[in-house]
Amino acid sequence: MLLLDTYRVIKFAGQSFWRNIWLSIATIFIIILTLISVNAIVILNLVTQEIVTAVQEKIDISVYFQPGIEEIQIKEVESYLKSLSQVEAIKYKSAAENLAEFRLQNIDNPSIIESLAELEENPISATLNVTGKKLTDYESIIAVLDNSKYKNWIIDKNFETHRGYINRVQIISQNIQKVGIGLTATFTIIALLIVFNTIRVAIYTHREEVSIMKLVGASNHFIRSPFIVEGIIYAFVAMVLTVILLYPILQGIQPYLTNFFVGTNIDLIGFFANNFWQVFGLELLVVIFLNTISSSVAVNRYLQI
Amino acid sequence: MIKFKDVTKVFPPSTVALDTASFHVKPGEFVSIVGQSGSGKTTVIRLLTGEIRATRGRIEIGGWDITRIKKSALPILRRQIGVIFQDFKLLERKTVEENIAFALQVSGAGPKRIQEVTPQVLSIVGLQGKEDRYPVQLSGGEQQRVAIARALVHRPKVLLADEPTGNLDYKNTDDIIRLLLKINEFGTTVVLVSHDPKIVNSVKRRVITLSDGKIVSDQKVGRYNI
Repeated sequence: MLLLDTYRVIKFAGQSFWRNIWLSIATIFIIILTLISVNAIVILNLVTQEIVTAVQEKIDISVYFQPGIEEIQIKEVESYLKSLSQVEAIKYKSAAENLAEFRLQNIDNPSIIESLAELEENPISATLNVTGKKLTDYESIIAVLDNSKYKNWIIDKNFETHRGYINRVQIISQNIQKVGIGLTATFTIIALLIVFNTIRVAIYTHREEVSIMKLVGASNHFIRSPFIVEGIIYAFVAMVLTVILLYPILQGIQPYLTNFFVGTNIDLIGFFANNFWQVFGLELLVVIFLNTISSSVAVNRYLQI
Repeated sequence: MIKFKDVTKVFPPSTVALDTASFHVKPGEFVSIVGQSGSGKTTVIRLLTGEIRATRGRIEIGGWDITRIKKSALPILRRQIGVIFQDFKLLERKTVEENIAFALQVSGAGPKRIQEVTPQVLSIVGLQGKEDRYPVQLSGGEQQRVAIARALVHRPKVLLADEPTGNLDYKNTDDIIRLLLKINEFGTTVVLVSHDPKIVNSVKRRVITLSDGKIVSDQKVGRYNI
């Protein structure tokens, strides 16, 4: 009985879908636009995250110490920094290691090499290279160091050169997200209104059937359900078409992203393949939920039972 | 079977369609409700089907107090009442058989029951062999027969006929009235709403006359004189 009723409800919903086919197509088109804009945000997030990760891997804070600061004191600072939640890793470099590295970097500059040879003492101090967990952690690590009891031991921190770069990446990422969210919200509102109006037209088109249904004792649930199911059909069809449209788009933009963001590991197709149900399944559920709400409002308002 | 007790229906802002109307229809009765346009005849039908609610008074049908009926119980009530209209209310895109099956489908009947009931009601109204025709391929009288067949699928205790012959010629009118009388003979209570004296007088059954929303006469074997 329940199965039979469900089958009939779906059948009536399908009939309504085909009877107003052009309206159905327009509705599905708008939902597809909404879904594509949502997936564009997913792509932009993925790209910016990959960029941020790539930047993060290259950035650390080099903490230089005053001449005369002993290794044991630097190890004390290292222990203190390790206790901070923002710190991912710390690498200690002795004064000798730093000097050797400096020599290597300036091997083609004889005047610097000669100057170093004339000096009796190593002019380069030991350093701590601190890697933060997130880009936003660097500011707070610096702030902690500036306010710690060790601040007088530190001669310099080279974070300032990276600060502008990090800020730019963060601002771009935030702006992309804002535009994306705005675009999605706009399309979502339009889609909700279109679905609402489509169901309203469907109710008008079926007024004769509805009046007969009432006349012969169809339950209120049976009269209402096909219109709600129609909204769900729109969601399904739009989702399937979005997936079909999205994959060629991803294949088209993948080479450009790989070439443009050299050094990053952006794999859009891999991401969508690995997270197919998490991304598209969730999107489908959300669209079904929104369409059901929109259809229900239209049915409650225009279907007088 | 049907009880109207001091029923008043006022449509906003202040149009009184029915004014303290009281009558009682027994099971198996054939009653004609007559009156001029705007006298309140159709309001009686709409009240009986639960399409509108009475402003005051009490209406009972088959033991149901429909003045207090819940919306969710209306479909169950409607399955016990068959209704036919002047404009037939058939679905143009469906065949005769599909129109009848539709009434059973939407109330949850299974294919077996549909296959069993459809030929039965088609036989009662004399439309065997025309199952695959569309409404446009039928005469007005035949279309009204399909509507009657559809109204009978739930074996209703009451059949309400709102001006069922309004769109029909004399011959078809006569056929439909005969059919209603035949259905009444099977035990179904029939309430015929009409403004046509010829029809009402030919039936020679109880006649309730309405005028400006009031019952002005209720005759056991009545006549309707304009």
